[in-house]
Amino acid sequence: MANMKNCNLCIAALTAVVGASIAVTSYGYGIGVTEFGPGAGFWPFILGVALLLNAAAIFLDTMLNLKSYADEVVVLRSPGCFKAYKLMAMVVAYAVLIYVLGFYIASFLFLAAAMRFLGLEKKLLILAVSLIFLGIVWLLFAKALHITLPRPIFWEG
Amino acid sequence: MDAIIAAFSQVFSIYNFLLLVLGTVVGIFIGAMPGLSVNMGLALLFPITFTVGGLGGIIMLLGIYCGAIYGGSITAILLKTPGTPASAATTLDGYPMAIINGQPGRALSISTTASTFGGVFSVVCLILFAPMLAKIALQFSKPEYFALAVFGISMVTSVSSGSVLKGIVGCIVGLWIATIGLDAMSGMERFTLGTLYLSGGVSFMPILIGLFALTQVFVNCEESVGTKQQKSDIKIDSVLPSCADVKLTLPTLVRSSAIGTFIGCVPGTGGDIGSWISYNQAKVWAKDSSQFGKGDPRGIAASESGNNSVVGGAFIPVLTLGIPGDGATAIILGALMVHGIQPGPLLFVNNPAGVYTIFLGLLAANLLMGAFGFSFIRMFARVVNIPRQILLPIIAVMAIMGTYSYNNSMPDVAIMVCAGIVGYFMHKSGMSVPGVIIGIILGKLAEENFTGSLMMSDGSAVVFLEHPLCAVLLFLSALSLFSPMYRPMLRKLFENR
Repeated sequence: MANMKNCNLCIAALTAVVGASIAVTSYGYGIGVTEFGPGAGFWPFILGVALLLNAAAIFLDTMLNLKSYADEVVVLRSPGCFKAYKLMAMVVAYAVLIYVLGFYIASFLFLAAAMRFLGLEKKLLILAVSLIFLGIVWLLFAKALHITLPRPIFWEG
Repeated sequence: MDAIIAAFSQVFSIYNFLLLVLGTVVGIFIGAMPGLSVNMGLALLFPITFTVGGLGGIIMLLGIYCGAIYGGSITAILLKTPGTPASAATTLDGYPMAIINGQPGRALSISTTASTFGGVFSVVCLILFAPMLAKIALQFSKPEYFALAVFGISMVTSVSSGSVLKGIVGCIVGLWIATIGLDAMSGMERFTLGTLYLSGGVSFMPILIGLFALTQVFVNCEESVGTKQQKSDIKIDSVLPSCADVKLTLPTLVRSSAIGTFIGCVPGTGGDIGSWISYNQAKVWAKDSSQFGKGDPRGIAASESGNNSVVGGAFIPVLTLGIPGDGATAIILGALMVHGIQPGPLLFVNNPAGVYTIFLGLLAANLLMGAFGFSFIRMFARVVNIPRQILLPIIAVMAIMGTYSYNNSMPDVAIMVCAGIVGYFMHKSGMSVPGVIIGIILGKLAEENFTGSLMMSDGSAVVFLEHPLCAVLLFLSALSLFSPMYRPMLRKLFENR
């Protein structure tokens, strides 16, 4: 079971890394102030430094309130979380599938799979909802608004 | 006068009016569904504004905003589950009146009347006060604009629901995302990793949809494990308020609407604060407060007029100063900017027709909301029964579809999915999401006016202190940013006294 102490320390470390990277990269763009105004890196450099300061503040705050943060549980391994992670994986796969199979086929597969995954058991209902929803999308986007949603790669090829 | 006529023709053209109707209905639906938020609804339907046309799309978003805040009261009253946080106070008297006293129709009619009254009241205040504030703001130069942007950014401490420090991190990351692409002054590419896609900058749309809509899908998916969706099978009798109820609640309606409008004006507040303060004041002012919490009509009226009147109030800083008060107004501010309407004092000079269209759109949205509330309340009461298993996948598909159709870009979809996943972990770690959006939206304004001010002063930072208003705004920003540090001390001091 993770706690907020570890979570905060991870965020502080990540913020420090991101802040340092932004500051270093911005320095390369030029942070000097001339009569033509500040260099391209001046503003992002300030943001990088602000992130570094914030990382230090989060670290300090965590260290000063170690006990209360250690007692605060961050649930990352509950059955609900794993269900959410699986849904994330399905959404990622869906986005990849759109590229290959196009919007309508991929969406049909995703809708059916996700509804089943979330616990809907009536197959006919799953099929009907998926088809009706995509039918409405097709009418609205393709016919009414003339928006072309991604097509399958074999269609374009 | 021409601007008002132009605004009338915009709002009441058949096409735009239908969009407003659609937005209001969708808004009520979203508000009524526990787990779906106002922000999620706005983010999901934002991309459609590009295809339906600029002002028409904005009008639709106004309908969603007003409808969703009202819609939250339906489940608050019938299921004791507020559809939105703004309706939490409504459960105190709404649920007892509807279920324990067996008067669901009465409770819903009072809430509809109060919501409509509060909404219309606040829009009238917006129409009266926004132009005055804009006139003052017209005196602003670059340092004041920079200070204003910083003031808006400092509101992140108020909108952060979890840790303020982590909220600030999110906001700074948002500010940094706004710097990606070509530098406006030098034309130099920044943080583009040599890619053509990033040289145009990162659009805030995919991030917005990912953080608000997709994240919520994952959160709801997690929460669905081990909890059973509540069902409503309540029969609603009458949907119109009685004369006695109107007479009893009228003073409360006026007082709560004034409180809500004022609270809406203060950036960083929201409907939830408006409704709780209004509820509390109604209790304080009541001669007999013994029925509060047991189904008192004044309790429902106070909470609902308080949260709906925040809407008009919240538009005062958005339109006159370009400062978003919360996540929802940040999204609408972004939508206005994307459609070429730059909120700020100059908006009242350069685009008065646009301003009046927003005023009229808000007014019409509130009236429509009331009309729909009274006419279709029985139907809206049933939307809570739509299974989550159907709703969540559809929202995920709409998020992807909306993101893609914005730019016809698959990289945008990838960014949206990443933002959704990151948003879920931000939610887990108590990191506030609206801060990122506020950062992205105000980033350009802050940087451009910061560099512009330094150019004005040949690189001297004293320019920010030489302008009195700028100095005051920066001081207020510092007060707001550091408020989490001194607020507990102040509270302790007052408690000891």
